[in-house]
Amino acid sequence: MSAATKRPYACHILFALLFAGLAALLGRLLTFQSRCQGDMIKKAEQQQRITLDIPGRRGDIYGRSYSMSVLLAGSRRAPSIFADPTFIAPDPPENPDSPAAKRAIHDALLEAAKPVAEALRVPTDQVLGDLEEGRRIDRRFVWLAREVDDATVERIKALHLRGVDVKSEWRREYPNGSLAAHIIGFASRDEKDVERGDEGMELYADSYLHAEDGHNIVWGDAARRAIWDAPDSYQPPKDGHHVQLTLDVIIQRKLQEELAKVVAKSKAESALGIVVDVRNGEILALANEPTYDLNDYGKSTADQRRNRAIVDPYEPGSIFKPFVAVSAFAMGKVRLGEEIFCNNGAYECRAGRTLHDVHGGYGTLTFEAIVFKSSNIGMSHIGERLGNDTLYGIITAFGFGSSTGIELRGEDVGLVNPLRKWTPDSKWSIPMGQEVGVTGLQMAMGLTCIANDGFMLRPKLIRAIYGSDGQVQIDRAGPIPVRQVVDAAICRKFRLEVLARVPTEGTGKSGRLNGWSSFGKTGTAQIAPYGTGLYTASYMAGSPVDKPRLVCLISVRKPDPHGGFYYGGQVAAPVVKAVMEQALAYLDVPQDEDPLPAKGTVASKH
Amino acid sequence: MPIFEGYFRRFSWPIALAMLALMAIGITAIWTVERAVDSRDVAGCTAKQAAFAVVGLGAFLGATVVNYRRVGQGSYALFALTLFLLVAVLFCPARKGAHRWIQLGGPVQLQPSELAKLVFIVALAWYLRYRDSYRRLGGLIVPFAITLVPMGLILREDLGTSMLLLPTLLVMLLVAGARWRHLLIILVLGVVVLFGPVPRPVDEPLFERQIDKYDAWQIGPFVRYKPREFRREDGSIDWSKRAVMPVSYARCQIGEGPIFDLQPLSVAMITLKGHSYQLARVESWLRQEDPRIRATAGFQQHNSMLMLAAGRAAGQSDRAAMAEYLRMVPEDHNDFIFSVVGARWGFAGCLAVLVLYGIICLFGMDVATSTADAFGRLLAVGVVALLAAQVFINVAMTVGLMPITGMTLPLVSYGGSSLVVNCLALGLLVNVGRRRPISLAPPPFEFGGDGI
Repeated sequence: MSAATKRPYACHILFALLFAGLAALLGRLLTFQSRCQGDMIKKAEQQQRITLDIPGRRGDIYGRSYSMSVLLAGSRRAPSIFADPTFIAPDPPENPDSPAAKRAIHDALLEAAKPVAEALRVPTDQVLGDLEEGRRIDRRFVWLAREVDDATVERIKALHLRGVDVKSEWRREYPNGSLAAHIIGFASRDEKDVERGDEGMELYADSYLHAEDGHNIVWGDAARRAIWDAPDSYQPPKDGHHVQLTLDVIIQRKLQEELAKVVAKSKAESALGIVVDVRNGEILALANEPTYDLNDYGKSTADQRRNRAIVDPYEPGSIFKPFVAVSAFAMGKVRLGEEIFCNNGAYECRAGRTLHDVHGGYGTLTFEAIVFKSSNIGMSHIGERLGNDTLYGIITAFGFGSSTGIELRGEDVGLVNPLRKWTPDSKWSIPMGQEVGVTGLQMAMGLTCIANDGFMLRPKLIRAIYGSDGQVQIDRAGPIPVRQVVDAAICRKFRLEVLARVPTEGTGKSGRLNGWSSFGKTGTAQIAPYGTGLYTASYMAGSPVDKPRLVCLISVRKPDPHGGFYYGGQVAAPVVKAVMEQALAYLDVPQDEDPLPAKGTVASKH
Repeated sequence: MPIFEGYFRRFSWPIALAMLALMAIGITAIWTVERAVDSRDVAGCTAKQAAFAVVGLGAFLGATVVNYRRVGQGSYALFALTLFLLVAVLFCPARKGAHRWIQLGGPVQLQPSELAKLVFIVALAWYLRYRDSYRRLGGLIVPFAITLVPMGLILREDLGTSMLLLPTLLVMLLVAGARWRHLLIILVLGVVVLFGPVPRPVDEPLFERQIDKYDAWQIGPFVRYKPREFRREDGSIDWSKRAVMPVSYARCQIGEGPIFDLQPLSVAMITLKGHSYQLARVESWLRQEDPRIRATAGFQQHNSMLMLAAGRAAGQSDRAAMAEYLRMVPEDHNDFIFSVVGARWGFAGCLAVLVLYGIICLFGMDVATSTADAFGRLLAVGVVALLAAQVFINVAMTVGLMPITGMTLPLVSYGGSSLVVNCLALGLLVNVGRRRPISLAPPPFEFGGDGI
């Protein structure tokens, strides 16, 4: 090795390497610099932000009692238990997919699950299942129990387990249970864990009640721990608005109690009741039986949740007669005291169709008596005088077949056939409340119209909406007018001369109020198909007669026909009486009649 | 290189100026980080780095003044001392999960692996200076021992630094005049160790040959990397599954025999040692396109690249925007200072930094070519090779060309040991240059009996 070895190219090789390296680095830099666009960089920024949610509070729903607000639906802070499965069972240092590592993870989760399950009073398998599922999909936040009580929180905290902790959430509560369940409805958390209304007012007014969660965006370091608040990133939660309903909890409570009683007594399928303030169309009470407990809505059936008063149309029967009668009277088709022949109880209006009066036969009845004795034949004669076209105009003018505009979802408009589908028989059927489907609310608003001297109002359920700060956002005091249906003086005359005689001389004697004058109408509608012996027993009444304050409708569907206790005057009228007497006294409406003689009223039929 | 001879004969001003410029860039970049990210553990780093820079300049000047041959004479003793420190550091308390630092009292710490790099070069150059034993295969044993002993000691705690020594050794051997075929054998051995396939038995089924974007990666013509199935029942990709698995070429089965993975030898060794985080880094580098990897194991590298991309051509001077970028990369004042430079001064800044290193390397080569003294020449080449390798590896991992290894960017990154040692190395380089003969040098890169 003595010969000199020349290697001048060695430095060329090194230079080449140097430049190749430089070129590779710069080339790479240029390549991905041109590939990375602005949105990618934005995305990278977002990935460094940790968003902490601050739950917003859903608005309350209030009823009232006297002039005070009563909480019907509200939110309360409730603790929930969550866990971080990956924190409880971190990756073992060896290959995390190896059986040994899987066993180690399982053991760690099981060890944590046992005391937690004991503290939560649930089976260990349930907690372990939640943890393992969360661990498997690498979720760092798993709910173990939502909305637990304070004792559970104490027990969990006493465990001092790392990776299991408590987080506060808003929990929806309904302090009055089943009171006004169909009006209030309920809210639940959707798949995005946002509280949304599902039924009733919670659904209808959801846009007001709904709360927006706030956010606090903080910067995270590489380990995704919060470093500090990013400037201008705090967004406070937007609490929901509060909704003040027109419902009066005292009247509502009474109505629900009476409905439950009458359904039990008559062994009926269902019942509905509505109390309306005549002066402004405010709904003071609206109830259905069967009902359900809002705090336990998960256990209710769809049948219990039906708000029958607005979604179920039914054939009204005789309670429909006043609307036709008052219109005929207003049009001059019939006069007070006019005598109409009632065919002695059997009127063969055309070949193959004979109408009957329910209670024997009447020879000649005055117009007033036709109404308060509820003669089908008499009404059909009035129907003949009006004709189909006029009848159609009358019932649509009273709002049947169209929405009342109640502030709830799913209102049914009832069933009023278009005129071209009417048959010649319609002029006999419609005046006695057949061939037409109405909702309880439409009936109640119809009677409110008569009580209000022929002026139709829109039913009102939302009295006001307040911001979360208590400031009034929307005030809805006063009536919402619809239209004048019947001349005021004539309507008043009809009320005083005709309808007021129903509880005194007619079919609604058992509905006569003790101390207040009243007007009303009974109805016992056969449920189609006719002849099955199933009825809807109804009574609607207003009081006092001269200057009405309240209107109440009770309809009991399918009372047990065996035993003869199924007439509207028998079944529904006492309920109306009980509700109205209490409500009038409660509202301080001055009495305008002497008290009834003690006892002695016999339920008169139909 | 003769073209430079007439211009810079004694003191290599370009090297010194480039060094100063790089240190200034480093301090400014660290200041940028500190100003924008005030609540992190970078508070006071700029001042410290400036102090280190002063110490480093002192070391630089000192290293240019002493006779470098004296250093060479003491190199074996220094080497022994360094080995002692490397052993001692293993018994020091760990910081950031690694035994890398020796506490010297107060806030001053020493990182022996940084020192080892320089001492290794000096010792190797001193050993190779007149010998021609390395022209036999057997004669390569001692140079390799000088390399592998410190490397083995550093390997466990500081993979990146240890990996630097091998390319430096190769370059120095090449310049010293080792035989091509020997170098080739060494290279092949290295490739075999890195990439040689070894079977590793597994207890999972042979996967079907189904390849799509996230399912398999073709790396080069031969290496195919296929992770485990990450698919849900409906065929969509399930990112929530654990992603880390040993890198393997293929999964095989011979006849009815056991199923095994063909793995690179280096990976198999790492797997045996249980350093799964290093595997995770390799895997996250291989699967940069995978969004899940980007959010977890590849977070640092991906965000470093995004930061560089965000800098665009001229960089981002808005302080708030800077702050946003800087929060994205942990260790950004340290190993990832290059991405800070990229974010702050854009492509232009990156180019400038690389060109400054290029200047140091070019003039370092100039020193080597014009030095007659074999030790000086080897020393110069060693310093240049070490610097170039460090810069390349660091920048390559910042731009996603290599897996993350944990390597500082010389002169720019935060860190006293690294800065001072690099200043010392450049001082020695300038020292060698200063002692070049003014008269004509013998032909460069001439080895053998008739040398000096």
